[in-house]
Amino acid sequence: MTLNLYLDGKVGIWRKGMSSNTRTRSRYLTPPVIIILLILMYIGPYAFVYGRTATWTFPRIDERDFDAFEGVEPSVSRVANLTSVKSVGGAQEATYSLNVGILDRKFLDWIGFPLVLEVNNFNFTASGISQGKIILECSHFETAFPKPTGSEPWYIYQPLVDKYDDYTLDVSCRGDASAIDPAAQTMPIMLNYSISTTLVGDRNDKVRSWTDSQSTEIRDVRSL
Amino acid sequence: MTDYISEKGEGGGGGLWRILRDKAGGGWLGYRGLLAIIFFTPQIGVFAYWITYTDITLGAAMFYLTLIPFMIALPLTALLPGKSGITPKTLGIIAVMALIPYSIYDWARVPMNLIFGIPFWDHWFDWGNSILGTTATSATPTGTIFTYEQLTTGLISHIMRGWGLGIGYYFLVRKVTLVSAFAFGWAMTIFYWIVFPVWVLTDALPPWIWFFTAWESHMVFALGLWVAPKIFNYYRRSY
Repeated sequence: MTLNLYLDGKVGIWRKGMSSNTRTRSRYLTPPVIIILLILMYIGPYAFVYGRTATWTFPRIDERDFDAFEGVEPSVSRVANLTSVKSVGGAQEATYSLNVGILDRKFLDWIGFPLVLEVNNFNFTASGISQGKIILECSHFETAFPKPTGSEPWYIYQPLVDKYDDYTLDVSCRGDASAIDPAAQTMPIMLNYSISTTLVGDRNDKVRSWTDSQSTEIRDVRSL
Repeated sequence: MTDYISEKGEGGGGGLWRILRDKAGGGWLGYRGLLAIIFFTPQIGVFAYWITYTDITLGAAMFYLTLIPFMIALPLTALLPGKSGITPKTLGIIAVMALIPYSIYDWARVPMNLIFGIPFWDHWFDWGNSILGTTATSATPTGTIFTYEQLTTGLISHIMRGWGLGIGYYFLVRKVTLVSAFAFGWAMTIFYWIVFPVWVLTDALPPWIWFFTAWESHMVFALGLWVAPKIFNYYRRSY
């Protein structure tokens, strides 16, 4: 039996069972009306998607982006490690390593999926002062902090999200070695720093800057 | 009387063997299977994109696995056996009927978004981006994928898959039955349940409601497969 004959039989039985009201109703459901109804049925979900995108998806993304921008914190270590002292042009130059970065980058996107906020153009400058003398100066630019690409398998992606949630790096600082006491293992300084970076979320970006001062300790790690 | 899938061209054997092959070249190992695969190619393209963890862009995958097969297949339809029963009119009827299943599939996901907040268009941005590429412009300085352009492109690729799957089903079956429609729906559900958690990162480790939504929407798709020929035949005979 062909499909059509099969369907004809079924439809025939169905139509015999229809009441006169149903028959009347079917007269109004003429092909043009059916076509219009089908078109409406067809485009309905997509109209819904565009409407929801404008009123729910994009506002939700924007809200979560800006919450994430406000949620991050700068991190500047309270210890600057003295790593070497070298003679440069007759002067003694000390090199320090200072750990800095951005914390709490992890956030949930519009569908509740964990993401890591993109950190670009990270610019760090600092000067360490003790007793009116500049002990060290730092200037570091990082093009972009690492983050998962989003194309990794889940078992790789998830640990990367946690790994890059708080991301720090060691920046190199320099200063006149004669300004420090060579015999002292540690030395307190006042570190004035400034951080500027571009944060990029799902749909938005924002430049955030922090300027602050904190007491920091110079620790001589050359013998370690 | 229009028979959207003709029995002409059959011959030899019966049962399972007749489904797989007949003397006129029909069956799953003949033109029916071939046409079904051709219309499954948008899905095959996205599958390549998924299992390579998006290393193969959707644009490239659909170029090699959808567009090229279509370009080759279309001229080859001239070689369809005269008794195959697959005519341009048949193809047109199937194409119109296949609009219904995936359309109500999307409708079935609307309440899941309104009730549970599960969107069904989140991947459309990814697909659109993978096809179009994302570059920062003055309008989108962050190079975001969340634009209407990406959404529209992703939507079109979504439609191609749903429509193609429906057309493929109608080529595969000689007679539309509730059993075959729901078998097809279950096959799609299981495919979805496996592929997304394993390969598609943004739906990894989904909650139970995600699995339910996937099942519910594909069952509605199956219902659409079954009911579409009934609607078509009823109104064709009435007017």
